[in-house]
Amino acid sequence: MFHDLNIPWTPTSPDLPRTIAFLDELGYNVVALNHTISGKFSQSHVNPISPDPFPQHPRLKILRRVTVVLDDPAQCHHLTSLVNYYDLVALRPTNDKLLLQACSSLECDLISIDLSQRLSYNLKHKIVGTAIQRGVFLEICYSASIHDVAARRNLMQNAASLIRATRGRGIIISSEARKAVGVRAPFDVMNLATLWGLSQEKGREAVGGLSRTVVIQAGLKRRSFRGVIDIVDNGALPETVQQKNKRKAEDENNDGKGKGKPAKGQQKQPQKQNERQGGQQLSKRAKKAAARAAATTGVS
Amino acid sequence: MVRYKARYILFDVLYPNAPKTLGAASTHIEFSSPSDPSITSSYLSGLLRDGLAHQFGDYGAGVAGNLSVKYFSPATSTGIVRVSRDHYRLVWTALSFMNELKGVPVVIRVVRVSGTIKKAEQEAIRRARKEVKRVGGSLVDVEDIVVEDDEMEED
Repeated sequence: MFHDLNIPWTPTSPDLPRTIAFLDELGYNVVALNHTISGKFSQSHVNPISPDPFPQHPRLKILRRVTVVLDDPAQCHHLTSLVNYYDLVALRPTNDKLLLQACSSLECDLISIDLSQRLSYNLKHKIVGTAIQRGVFLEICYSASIHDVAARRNLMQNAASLIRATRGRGIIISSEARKAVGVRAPFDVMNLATLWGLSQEKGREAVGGLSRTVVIQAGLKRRSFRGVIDIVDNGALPETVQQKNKRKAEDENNDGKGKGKPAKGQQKQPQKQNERQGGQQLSKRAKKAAARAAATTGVS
Repeated sequence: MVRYKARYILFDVLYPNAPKTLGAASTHIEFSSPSDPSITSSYLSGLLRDGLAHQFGDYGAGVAGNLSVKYFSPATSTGIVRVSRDHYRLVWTALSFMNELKGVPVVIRVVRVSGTIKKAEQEAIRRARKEVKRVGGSLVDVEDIVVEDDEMEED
């Protein structure tokens, strides 16, 4: 399962369908469309992304995510209202005080620092560690580094320091690609992660396992009873044609015989009937042939 | 004396933007289309060396500079690069950061990293077969294309 939890979404984005198709081609399974809010937003903010925007990609699960660019402590009060409208809520703090607040107390699923800019503060293990202990993971977005040389340098530097601060724990990697050219295949992303200083397994976790954890935790927060109990649909097996026919035949038999009969012997009844009709005249060989013919017609 | 150990990187070139000049008959698979026939393995290896120098400076270009592009077929847009085992990640990164070929935006995807060229080749053939199956064509000609190219390489 490969995840890309950050594909920017805007009301008019002509490149988006192409990008989504390309992600599907590269083998991603889960993609989150990201709506970025900067500045103030009202408490009655409604999700502008439609629930199932790309039905032509059935293999791809599409989530809706919001990223709030935090630059004012006053924004923090309305965050809880967003949780109901989006599958994921991410924060992008712009200074170290807001980062501390986001890591320690604010209600969110992800913290996504803009690593392609030069950071004005140092990332400390104490601050970042509290976030990871709470189950809020940190995100690295690689797409800016693919075209821009300055962004690449900053990203490498910041990613390395983030990895050092977190000791390689609780990091997920996503693209933030505005065009299809900015996306890379999952294994290429893992290679980039090893370049930044993550190990191979941690790199894999960052694209697959941990991102999945984020999605599941976010889902639990929203759907479950007090974040503890949730109803899981295992997905019953679809009924095959044979089973359907069999059930139909049984139903018809039942109707013919009336409802007074006990249910115990019902299933054996059709077989017995067959035997009674032609059982004595048929040889063993003929019986086998009949069985074979029945099997072939049943399959086809 | 220890034998020189190498890694063979099998990659394919994807074209994320919609093709403008190519007709619908040339390919049915979205994102993968034939490359410009003027892209040869020597051209690619030059490009890779430049990328390495750009990404990792003189050190990177020197240490992973013994790469050679063993095979590139513009028809299927796949290729194989040989590098020393210790530095294959540098070359992989250089491939990942390559974003255009002859002015056309591309994404290069590494499909397989292998210790022998044989396995890389088998994977290339397997993938080509799969793609032909996806398009719905016959299975015969793919192997011919790949094998023919190989024989030409060896000559």
